[in-house]
Amino acid sequence: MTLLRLACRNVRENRRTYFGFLASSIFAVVVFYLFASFRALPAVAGGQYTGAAGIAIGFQVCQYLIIAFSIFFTLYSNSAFVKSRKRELGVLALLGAERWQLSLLLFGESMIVGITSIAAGLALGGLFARLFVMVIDRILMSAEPLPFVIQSGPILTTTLAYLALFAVISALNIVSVKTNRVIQLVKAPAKPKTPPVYSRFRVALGIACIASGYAVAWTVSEVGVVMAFLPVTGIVCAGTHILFTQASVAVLRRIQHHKSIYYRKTNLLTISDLVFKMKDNARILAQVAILSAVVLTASGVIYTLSAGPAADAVSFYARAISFVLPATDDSVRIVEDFRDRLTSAGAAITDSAIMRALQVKVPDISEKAAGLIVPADDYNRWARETGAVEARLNYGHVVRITKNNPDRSRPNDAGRTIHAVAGATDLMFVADGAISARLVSGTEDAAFVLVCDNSRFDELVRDLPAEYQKTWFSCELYDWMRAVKAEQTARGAIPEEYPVAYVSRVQQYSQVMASIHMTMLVAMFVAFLFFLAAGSMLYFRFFLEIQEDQAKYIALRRIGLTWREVRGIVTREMAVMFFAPWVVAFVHQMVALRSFSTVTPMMPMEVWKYGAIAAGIFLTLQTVYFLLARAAYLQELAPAVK
Amino acid sequence: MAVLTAHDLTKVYGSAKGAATTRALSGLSMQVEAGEFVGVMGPSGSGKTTLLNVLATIDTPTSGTVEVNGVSPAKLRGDQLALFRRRQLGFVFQDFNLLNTLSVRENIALPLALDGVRADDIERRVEQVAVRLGISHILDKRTYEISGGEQQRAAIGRAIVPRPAILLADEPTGNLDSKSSHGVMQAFRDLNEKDGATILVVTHDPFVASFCQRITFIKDGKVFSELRRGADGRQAFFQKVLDSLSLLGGEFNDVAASRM
Repeated sequence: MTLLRLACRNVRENRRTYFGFLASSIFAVVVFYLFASFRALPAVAGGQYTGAAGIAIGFQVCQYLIIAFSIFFTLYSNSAFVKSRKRELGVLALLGAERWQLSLLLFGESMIVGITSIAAGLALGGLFARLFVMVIDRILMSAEPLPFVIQSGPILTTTLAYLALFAVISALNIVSVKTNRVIQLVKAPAKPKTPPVYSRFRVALGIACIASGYAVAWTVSEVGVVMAFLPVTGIVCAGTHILFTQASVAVLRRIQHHKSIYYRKTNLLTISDLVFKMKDNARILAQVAILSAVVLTASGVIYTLSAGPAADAVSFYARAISFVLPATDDSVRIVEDFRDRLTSAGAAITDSAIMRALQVKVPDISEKAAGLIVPADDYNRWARETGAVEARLNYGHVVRITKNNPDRSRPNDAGRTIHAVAGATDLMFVADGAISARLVSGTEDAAFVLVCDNSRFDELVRDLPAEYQKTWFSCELYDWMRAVKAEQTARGAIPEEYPVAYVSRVQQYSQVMASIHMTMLVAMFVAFLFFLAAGSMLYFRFFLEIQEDQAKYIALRRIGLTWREVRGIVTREMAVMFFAPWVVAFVHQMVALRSFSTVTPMMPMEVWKYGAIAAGIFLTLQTVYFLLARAAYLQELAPAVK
Repeated sequence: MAVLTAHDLTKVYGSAKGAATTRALSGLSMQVEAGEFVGVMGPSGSGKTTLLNVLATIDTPTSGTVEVNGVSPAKLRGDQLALFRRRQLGFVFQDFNLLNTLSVRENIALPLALDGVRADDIERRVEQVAVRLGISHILDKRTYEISGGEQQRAAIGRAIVPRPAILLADEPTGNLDSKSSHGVMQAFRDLNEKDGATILVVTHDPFVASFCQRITFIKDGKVFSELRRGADGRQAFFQKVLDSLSLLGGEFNDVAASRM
């Protein structure tokens, strides 16, 4: 049997041992490829869109993180894997295998796994890429889906990068086996761990790194934010690494000195075990924390960008659609046609109002913009339908409709004389204050609305020239953000020759969203991918160590540890591993979002609010991930331990 | 008063259809009184380990009953059984079974901590046990920094610190050299004589057995004979054990002359 055949056979026969390594390698390739291919998309790489320059830098940082992720993740999986294979290599050495033969065997095995995972990773990556973009398009309600093409560049990059990585890993494996004596190989799994130590100097250094990074990020101005991006990210990453390798041990050691806490029930087992687990997994946890920080920041940005315009649009435009037509024999028919087309095109109208109106100016309210006077009958019909306050007016009285709280805006409005102008005609009304209702989307042609009593209105209709007589339509839509197409269809009802004063929240919003769509798409993609990467890293880590844990729990069960206690220990250890990075990531996110707020017109507080909501959503997802991982782990543990 | 009573224990391994079954225990009965130091000896395959596992409630007998301090573990389920093991039974294993993530002190403290004993009580009781076993000076060492004999004494400490009804030991010197073995067995005898601990040791080593007051020999899953130490010195008792073993037959490891 040649060495190559032995290597092939080993891989085949040890499928179970190899599976963890293979699966995690494939996963790393998928993540790498997805990122590379997304970044290389013509629409992303060469696109002109809001924040393209910032995104280019963000991409660069993400690229480094992805590379670091790939290296750490593959190295870790590999070391866990080699550990589980050492005994077998030791037996081969005992049987007289020479070192070069062992080296070649190990090299061959690693390369088989490497090449398999590159091939499988690229295949899966190609599949996922399509799916990913589809899902994101759906979430963002893209008007036109992102054109997704499979390019040779990313495939080549991924293949070369991972071939190199696996070659290096194989070489490292050979070195690690060479320096070991046979006895160490055979007894490898029994080798005890030395207790982790920390140095105060390094803890201080880590804190200093993070603090200085934070300080820069906190105080940076709009101009400096792009320049500071790379160095700050770098220094905070370094600080995070030190935090997890050093400070985690320091904290746990502190707890161990508090006997009343340390000796409380299973704490003794959980904390002493966590000291080792945190140290062993420190780099993974730091990586996860950094990836999660990117996820949280990216989703905070998405949320800010998407929720901001929606909230703005709603507060600025009280009605989804509102327009004013000259009152003609046809105008009511046109408006009704518009409404019907809207409905038949799939938009759900919450309420609509067709009102007769007179266009006037009120210099007291606005010098330039015109407003509408509508009859109480028309207004009250709408008010009854929607539950708004009805207008009860004496002859010659008017009441103003405003979306603000009337008590706050104009407390002394009542009883005042309102002087309106229609061309050369002066009109006098008595103000009855204001009614608060979401009816008026401010525009140049209908900046305000006054409701007038019916008899006076009829007189005015009779007296004023036709050019001041209007038909006013407005409506509110359910799910208005998605009504763009329906609105376009309905507009066909208004003949082109008609001078129409048209204002639409739907339209405004979709224009704003189109301008930030690409930015959001990118942020969403990064958030998705990194969340997947971060969560899976933890998951794989736990499963690579399951055999050690199993042996430990079996021993403990023999001296009377209950299954419930085992579950408690596993749950707490996993919780720390899953949520400690999230906590760190959350703090990073808040600082990063403060920097982000300098390039938006928003206040930091507003951005933080959206960031916190995004973080909450990811905390929920992370909890689901945690619960699934915990259940899977316990299920794996149960047959031997329970 | 009987601390441990085993009545008519049978354990059959293998398929239910009876095609390839092994009878590890067949109608074995035995009793251990409070304050006794009992050895169970038998050749390989005599059912020693099965007996210990059944007594330790790790395994269940096919038929027959076990009672510890009047409680039948067969009636306990799941976690109740684990708690019973934790409070009533102390275990000493051949491979020590200490956790290498914990110091010696923490290993001994573990059963008390799990049972919710207060921290200062734990400290006090661990110190007491350590003094009794002569391991006070290594309490803050890690398990891999101390010798096998010290590890086993630490394991004994962990087993007796909750004050169990009975201490069960499975080949406690199996991984030790003769000098360490002597120290560990001396520790068992001290616990028995000075503290009145009830101890049951399963072994195939006549040297270990010679520390006991009474030895039950088993063969083919049944009690074969019994030997009491009476007023004999350990050396004389050791000779008697060797004689009984030759009568028992079967495979034993050679007895090292140095241990005599």
